[in-house]
Amino acid sequence: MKYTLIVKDAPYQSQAADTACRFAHALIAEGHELAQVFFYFEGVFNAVANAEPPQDDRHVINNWTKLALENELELVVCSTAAQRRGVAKPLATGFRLDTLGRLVEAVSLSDRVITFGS
Amino acid sequence: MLVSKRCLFINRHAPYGSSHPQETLDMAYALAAFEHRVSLLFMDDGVYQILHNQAPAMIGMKEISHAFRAWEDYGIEHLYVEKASLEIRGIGVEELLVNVCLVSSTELHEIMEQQDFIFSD
Amino acid sequence: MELTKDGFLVNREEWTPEVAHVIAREEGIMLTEQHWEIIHFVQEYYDEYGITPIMRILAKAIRNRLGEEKGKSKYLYRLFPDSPVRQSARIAGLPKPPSCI
Repeated sequence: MKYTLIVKDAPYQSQAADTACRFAHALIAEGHELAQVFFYFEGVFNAVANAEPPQDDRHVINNWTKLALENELELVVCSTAAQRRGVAKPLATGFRLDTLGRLVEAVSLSDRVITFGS
Repeated sequence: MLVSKRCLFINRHAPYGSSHPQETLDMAYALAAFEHRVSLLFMDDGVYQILHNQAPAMIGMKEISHAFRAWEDYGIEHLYVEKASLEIRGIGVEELLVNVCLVSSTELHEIMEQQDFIFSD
Repeated sequence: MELTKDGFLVNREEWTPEVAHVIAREEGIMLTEQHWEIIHFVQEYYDEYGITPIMRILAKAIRNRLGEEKGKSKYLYRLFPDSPVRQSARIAGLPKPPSCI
């Protein structure tokens, strides 16, 4: 099956971003396809460069970058939501700013659309 | 060619506690503008989003409720409101700024089952 | 008058038809009756709904209210060659439309 994931919470705000990322790994491991991860609302903060969490905590943003690089994935950040919050280039590796139009396409291609975050 | 999907947006939050209602509306309108079959459901505190006579400028927020009245231009299929959510809050249909389709919780289950995807604010 | 970095009016109260002419000239547009019809349309739409709609919705709304011919994107692009949405909003003194889509 083909999935689109929407992430609505900032990293460390809740477990939503962590869960979404693990879910992405799991569905790919099970042989499903990930059409897109779309970052909206406070989720756009997952794309900031230069985050340095304490060394003994998980690095949410690097986990996304790893997911993107290993699977040649698109991590799409809504440009309007990003602009509203001052999230701007350069973004962390693997993320790109794009429009809601990309989500429109991904929804069209997907069998499942799952939202993470409140 | 885009495959059209049936999408239901469930709005459950009061309008100005966060920017989510505005951004959820933007997302719903974007999907609807590009061929997806989108409906909106207001329930719980979400019914306050379409209450008339809002004056959010007093707290420095942008009015979002008028945008709901453009739903036909965007090709939104239905505006649903859960009946009980209005009753509990003592809100009458005449206090809403759009014509809506009132649904019971039983009907709500049926509506949800007809959808491809469900989004919430 | 004060403009944003993208050239949009900061205070809409400062908008007058003369301001529209000045901004239109910057956009390389000489305003005609046909332009004014669209400018008034987007102003009224914004007052009514608080939205500057994206191109295909703008075209549809114009089609429904001003007739088939005027809602054609060919017609709108002839009046506002660079971007009907952006240029009509800017000349009308409205906020910059969101960049999404």
